Amino acid sequence: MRTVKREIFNRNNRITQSSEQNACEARDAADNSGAEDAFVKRRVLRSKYLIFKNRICDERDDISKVDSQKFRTFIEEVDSLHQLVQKPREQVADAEALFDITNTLVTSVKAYNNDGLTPSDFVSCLLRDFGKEGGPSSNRNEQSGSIRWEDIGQVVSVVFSSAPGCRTMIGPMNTELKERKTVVHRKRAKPTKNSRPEELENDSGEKTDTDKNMATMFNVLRKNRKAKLENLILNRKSFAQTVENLFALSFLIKDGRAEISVDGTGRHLVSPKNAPSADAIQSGESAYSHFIFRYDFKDWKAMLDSVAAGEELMPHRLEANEARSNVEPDSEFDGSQAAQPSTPIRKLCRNRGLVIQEQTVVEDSPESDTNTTTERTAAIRRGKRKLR
Amino acid sequence: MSYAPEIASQFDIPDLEKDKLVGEVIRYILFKTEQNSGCPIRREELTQLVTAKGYKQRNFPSFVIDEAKSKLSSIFGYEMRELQRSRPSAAANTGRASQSQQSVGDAKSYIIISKLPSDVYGKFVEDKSSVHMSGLTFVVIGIIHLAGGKITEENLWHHLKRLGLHENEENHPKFSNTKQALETLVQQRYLQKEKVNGPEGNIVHYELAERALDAPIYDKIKEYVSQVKYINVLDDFCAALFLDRWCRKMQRHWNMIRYLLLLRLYMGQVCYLTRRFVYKLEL
Repeated sequence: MRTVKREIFNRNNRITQSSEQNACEARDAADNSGAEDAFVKRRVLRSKYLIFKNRICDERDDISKVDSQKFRTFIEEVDSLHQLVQKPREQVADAEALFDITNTLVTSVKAYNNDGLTPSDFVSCLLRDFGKEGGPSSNRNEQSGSIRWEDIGQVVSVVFSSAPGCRTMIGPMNTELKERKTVVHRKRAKPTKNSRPEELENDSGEKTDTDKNMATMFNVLRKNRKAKLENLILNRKSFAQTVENLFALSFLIKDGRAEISVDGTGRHLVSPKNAPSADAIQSGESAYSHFIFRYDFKDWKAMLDSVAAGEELMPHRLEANEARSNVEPDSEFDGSQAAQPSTPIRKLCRNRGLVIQEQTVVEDSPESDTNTTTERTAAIRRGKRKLR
Repeated sequence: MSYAPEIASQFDIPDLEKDKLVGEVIRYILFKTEQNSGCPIRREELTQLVTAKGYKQRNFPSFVIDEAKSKLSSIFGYEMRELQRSRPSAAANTGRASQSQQSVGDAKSYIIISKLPSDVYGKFVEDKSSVHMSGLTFVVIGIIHLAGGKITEENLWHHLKRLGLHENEENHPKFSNTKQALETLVQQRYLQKEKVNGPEGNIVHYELAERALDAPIYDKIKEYVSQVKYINVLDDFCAALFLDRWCRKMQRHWNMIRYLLLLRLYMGQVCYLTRRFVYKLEL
């Protein structure tokens, strides 16, 4: 590769090549081919060392034999390979091969503690004395033989003299037969009776509170073509009703029956409008868009200061207890909605069962200073009617 | 039954109750031996038989076990031998000797051995259906003993393969699952396994456990192994001498190889001289 690049470079630069440069290039080419050859030779050497190590593993019994020439052969072979070693990788392989030979020799030296008898010799003698003659060896390799294990066992059984135990009646002697308990089937009672959800009648006449609030607000807007947003939704006496008014306004805007605009001074003005036609909705001229109106109790407190007393447009909705307690309805609000029927809340209590809460939760609103705690508790209790 | 008065008197327990406890211990040993296929019975289990009855006196369980031992010997002709559980050599060498000594006192177990003479035992008592296991036990112990008391799993299977036992064989005509058969020897405490972390991964070593190293059994095994005559007749001395001369030419690792070869030479000389002496005696 290096040679080719140099030739291209030379061609581009049109440098005349002298004989010295030619010799240099030839030398480089020789070096490159020599490097490749050396790489191949190293690889071959390492593979030879690997084969050598496998042979040590396979023929370790022969290496340690006294009369065997294998040890000499192996040492000569590893010595010849050692002469070719130049790089660290091959040096490692060489050291590993020598280590394997040494390990094999150490093992055989240890065996000389037993009068020179090695495990291999022991196995050879067993095969000689107890090997099966003409035994089934078709499914085994030539090296493995089968021996008569029973004969060996009979010869050496006295070495172990294992005592046979008792083979009968394993277990304690004083076990009594346990009578099986008679099974008593309990009558299974159905946990619940079959029930079906209540089917509500499609009563279109009855309006929810929200619908009524929407109608009231729309009427107010019709009278006051442009109303300030804060004047429209604020209820000075009740934060909760203020929120309900805002809720109703959001439905009106969603239906397209009211719109909020901003004048030059930055005031928000609400004005009624006709709901968009079906064509306008279908064509996409009229489309939904959302925004978040964040409103909390602090905002309501601030709104109280910004709106003058009496400028609230939405009537105050009397609660049931207020309706009972107030003899004269409040004259400021037209279309007094005293004792509005509230949407009953049904809830299943663990202790009381199904309870219908007829009164709203308005009683818990913080602005109700007139109601004392006891009256509030009593009202809550009255409002909850137990069904079962 | 009468107990030694000086020993029995220290326990304020009627003889009848002692008899019953001794009988239960004997019964437990006999049945457990059969149930466990000859695996040693732990001393804790025998002690539990006594303490579970509510006898909290010190040394009373030992007394009962000793009585059971004498009864097994006199009535059944069984020797109840006590074995001390041995630890793997690697664990002992890592300096945990104190811990092993603490646990050695609790790691006692018992086996029962027939005291009958060998001819009577072989003729009337020996179980013919399980005699092949005795053969395998002897062969494996012999191989490990000759390998220096410890051998790698690979090496062990290398030798067993020559005898027709393959590591992954499950249909051997005698042993079925050969690996399971070897595992049985470990459970019977003839062998113990030890896993050693090496540079090339985990290596499993097998070494002789307390039951194989028990003096009477170990001596008999050594005697039987030495009776196996081998057919090598060449002179160890000459072969070692040739190797010694050749190695003088080597340049690498001279000291280590020379030491090993000198050792081999020494052992070869001893074997050669011993054999010459024995041959002379036989002639």
